[in-house]
Amino acid sequence: MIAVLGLVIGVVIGLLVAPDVPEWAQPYLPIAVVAALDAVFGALRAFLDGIFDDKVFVVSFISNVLIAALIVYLGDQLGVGSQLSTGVVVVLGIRIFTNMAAIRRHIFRA
Amino acid sequence: MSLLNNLMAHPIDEGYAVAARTRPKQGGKAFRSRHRVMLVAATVVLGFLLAIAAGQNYRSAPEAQKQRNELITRINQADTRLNGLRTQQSQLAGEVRRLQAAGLSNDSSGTALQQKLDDLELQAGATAVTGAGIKAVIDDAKDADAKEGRILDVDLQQLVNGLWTSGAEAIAVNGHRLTSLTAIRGAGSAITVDYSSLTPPYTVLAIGDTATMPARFAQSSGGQWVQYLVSNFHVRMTITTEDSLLVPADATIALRYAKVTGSR
Repeated sequence: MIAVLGLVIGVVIGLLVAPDVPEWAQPYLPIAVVAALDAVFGALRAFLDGIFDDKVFVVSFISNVLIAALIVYLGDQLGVGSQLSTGVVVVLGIRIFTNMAAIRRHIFRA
Repeated sequence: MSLLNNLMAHPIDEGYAVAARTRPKQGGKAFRSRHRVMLVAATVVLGFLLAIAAGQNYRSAPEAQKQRNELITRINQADTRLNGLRTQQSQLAGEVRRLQAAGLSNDSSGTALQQKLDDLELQAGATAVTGAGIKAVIDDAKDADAKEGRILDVDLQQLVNGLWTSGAEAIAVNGHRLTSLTAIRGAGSAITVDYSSLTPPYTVLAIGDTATMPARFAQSSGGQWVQYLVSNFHVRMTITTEDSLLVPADATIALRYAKVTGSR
């Protein structure tokens, strides 16, 4: 509940402020969002498992975003940016799905 | 497949489990509330990222639209300027012709020369002419798309050729007089006549014998071509006979390099 509230607040701030994303950051933003989503769902699952730790969460959140951006940057430099982006999205997508399944089991017991 | 298995089996950071194992067994109230603050902060950041990524996506579309509009404005400006220059040029050409006529009307050889010049200019399309003729308005089909139902340059060429073969003496398409130097061709999806892009409907004015021209046009290959388009692709065409048509002069007619052989 409180997480959803935070999400809504973030969206509202983002829409109100609507900052201009600099040209160089544009390819990394969607990947960063997916990485952040993965960290948040991981945290949510850990929270429900009762093993949540804020330090681990903050570190994993920041490092996820940075590493995802770094991989895409590296791929761009090597000329395989779009393929690496796809790879990152696939891996993070699988993790998000698995975590969502665990969260679902926690909440609905099904 | 150990990579995928690993991915499915341990989707959350190992760090959580390690931290849980090493953490002292207390987890009081203050501890849990700090968890919540972190979670809220992270979701706020996540929402913020989501919103600006989505916003970026949305805003780049109007940006393209804006650039497109800007280009269209510039094209229209250039078109207006071109038309202005054409008008100015035909005015100046008229003035030249008047001065020429004044200079030649003094003696009898000059008058004969003027007569010959008038005839040639009429044939070449350098003067505006008026007379009875037919007016053909042809337009894309109502349900035209990129593939079917649109008038192509070749259709307009066939139409114009059909009019020539049925006895037209002067033809203009959307105000552009056709001369021996006028090209009708396609550029992208637009038809250009005399290097100006036209937009449908295309109005073709042809001066000639109104008694015979419509029938001869209908029998000509060009007329049959257009008729085929009308009946098969629902292209819209109306042909009317007019008592008085004005076919403008081609203002840009000028030979810079070609010379008459032998005469001088």
